[in-house]
Amino acid sequence: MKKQKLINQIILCTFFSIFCGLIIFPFWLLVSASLSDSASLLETGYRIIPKPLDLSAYGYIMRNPQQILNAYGITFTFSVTSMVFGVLLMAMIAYPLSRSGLKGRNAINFYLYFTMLFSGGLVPTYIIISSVLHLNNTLWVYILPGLISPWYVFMMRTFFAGIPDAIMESARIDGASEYKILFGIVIPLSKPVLATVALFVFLAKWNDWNTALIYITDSKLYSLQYLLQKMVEDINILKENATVSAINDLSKLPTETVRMAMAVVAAGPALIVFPFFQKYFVKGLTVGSVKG
Amino acid sequence: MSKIKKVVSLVTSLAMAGAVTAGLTGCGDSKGEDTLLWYVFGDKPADLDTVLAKANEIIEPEIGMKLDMQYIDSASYTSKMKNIMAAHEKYDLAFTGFVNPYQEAVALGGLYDITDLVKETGLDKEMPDFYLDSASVDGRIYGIPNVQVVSNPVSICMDKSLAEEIGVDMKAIEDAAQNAKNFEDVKAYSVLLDDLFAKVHAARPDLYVMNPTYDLLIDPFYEQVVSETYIRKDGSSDEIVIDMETEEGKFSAEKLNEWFNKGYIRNDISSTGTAVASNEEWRKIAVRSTTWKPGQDAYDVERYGEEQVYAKLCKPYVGRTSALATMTSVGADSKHPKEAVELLKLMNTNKELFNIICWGIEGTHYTVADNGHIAEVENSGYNGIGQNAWRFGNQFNALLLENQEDDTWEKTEQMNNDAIKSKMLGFVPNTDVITNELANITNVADEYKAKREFGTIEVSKWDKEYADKLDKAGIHKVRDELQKQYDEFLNK
Repeated sequence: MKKQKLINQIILCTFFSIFCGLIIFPFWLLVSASLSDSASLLETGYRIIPKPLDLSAYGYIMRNPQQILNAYGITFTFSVTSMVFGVLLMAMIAYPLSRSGLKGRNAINFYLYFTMLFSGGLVPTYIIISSVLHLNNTLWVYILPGLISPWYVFMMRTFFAGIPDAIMESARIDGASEYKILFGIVIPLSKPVLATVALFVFLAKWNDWNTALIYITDSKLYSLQYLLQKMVEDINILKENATVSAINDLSKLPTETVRMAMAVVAAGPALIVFPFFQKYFVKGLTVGSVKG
Repeated sequence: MSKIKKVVSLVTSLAMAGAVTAGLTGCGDSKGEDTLLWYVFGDKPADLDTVLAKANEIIEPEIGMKLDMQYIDSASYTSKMKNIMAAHEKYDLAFTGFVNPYQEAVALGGLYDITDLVKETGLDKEMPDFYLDSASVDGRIYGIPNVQVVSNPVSICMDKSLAEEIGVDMKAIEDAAQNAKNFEDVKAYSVLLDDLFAKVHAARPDLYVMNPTYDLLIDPFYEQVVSETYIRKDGSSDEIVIDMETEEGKFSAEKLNEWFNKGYIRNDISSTGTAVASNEEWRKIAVRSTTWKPGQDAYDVERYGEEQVYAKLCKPYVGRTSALATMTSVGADSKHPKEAVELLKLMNTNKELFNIICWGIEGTHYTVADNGHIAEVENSGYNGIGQNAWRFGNQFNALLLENQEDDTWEKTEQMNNDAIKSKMLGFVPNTDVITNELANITNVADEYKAKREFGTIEVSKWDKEYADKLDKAGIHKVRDELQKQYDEFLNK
């Protein structure tokens, strides 16, 4: 029996080690390429250990950090703002929906659910956002559209519904208002789901380049990921059309190592944030709330 | 508990503060009714407003309106313009061409029909006829080609020192290619290439011998129609053909495979592609496939670090879509289409205005040398705009940079005018009925790209399968439809 367990452990460990390796490897190549010098990258291709070690790509970024720092600021601002307001508003929608006493609950549920099935499509959305609400070229366009996601609302609702009624009952007997119950009891008990949603919202916003692609023309408002996308895309356009016209001054383009370094710089914070949230994922629900 | 609350309230207030500042930065930029809005692609230069103010000193008295130029970065230009057109936002002028493709914009209904306005304003007198012929869709004009080089022949070049060292005669290759009339001639020309590559490979094993940016055995002789269909450049046949069904197509695939196996082409080309992103990378390729235009020689010395010898593989040729690469169109919902066309005419005729838009203000953004050539002032806030003067109008109006020859534009114009014009000029295939087939063909072609274009695998192992898949994707339907439309066009 014990032996069987050991074998299982070994198989599992091997499997997941390989799996981890497969995930880490491409990222490591990226880091390694960003630490190589561009000439040897051309010569020998990607290496697992950069040889010779060369920091000039990061030096290049740091010499003219204005654009990146600015994009960092923009992305950080709207990611955090969306995360805080998104989670707050979604929790406030999810809480009443999780209580059985709410009138018209099914109608509201359906109203939310409906938006998951049907969307207006790109052009009508574009018209609303740019011509009606005039959100284009503002920071708001990163924050407001998609601030409430029905999917996360349902996730929270299900989680809230799992909190024993007895807790809220007793709070109500003690004279707590619904707000007090939500912020004093439900939210502190629901840290795992809130952390999950917060992380998802944060990551989705952090990685958002599409919004800028459609709505942002002011270079001061570019998001970090869009800046990356733009850099690669600009190069592609120049390369693909080099024969079409006179655009063939390639010497001004960032080299491959610089592009890699940019990718590392952009991915960094999201990687660091993750472990802080992770402890909430592992924790179960109602960590000893109705003990007696 | 209270600690959590503190943290939460801190974060919330921070977020609030962020949101408020965000609100402040967003304000509309409407410039009023007397302004023409012109979208161009590229990064906005810092001194744009100063330069526009100067330009408006010329524009306003002429047409009674001011110009506002909006730069949209090239990465998102196409998608942003698509949305702007689909949403029927008002704009007066926009760049169309290799970004924001002209024919797609026409199909989307995003462009104004300026056929009559062009005649009314006399803009059509300002450029050779073939430009407007290229731009006509069913006889109507929705955009004005920005006059620039449109006839650059495909060429190969290599370092002069290397050519002398191994003793190759580029002129012989050029003649063989340019005079090739039939398949036998193409074969003879390919023998010269074989010889060149072998010698280069022996002399410089550290370099990649060639880079299959385009097809050395197809592109000098055939013009691409749509997707994988081609037509002969020499006009000897009006038949639209399919790449791999021509003798040259099959032969070229075999040759590429032979060259690949001999190590002339980098062996990881399937993953890297043919794109060359830097001058260093170009210098690792011995025989470079590019295009040639007047002034190329001086430019290439800078680029490759050495004087080059060229073989122009075909005579200067204006293809069906050559002039469509860089155009300016009027917005479908523009309230001032007439003024917009007048401004376009001004950009084509008024050199002073054109050069303000291209180079900025003399003294501040550029300096003029004794011979009339200019040098850009570094970090002036209006750099690098004029190098891409083909974004704004007639490039031949642009002041020359120091390293350009005096007669660059005259020579280019001469080459354009003398070039062979495709019989297809003005033929705009209607692809509505073959949209699905074209998408399928693109998928199949992409799948076989490395095999067909880079020669990575022996031809006999995939050609039947490829032909079969292309047939199933509907290549013959596409060919027949295009042929039908083209015949109708020719009979008009």
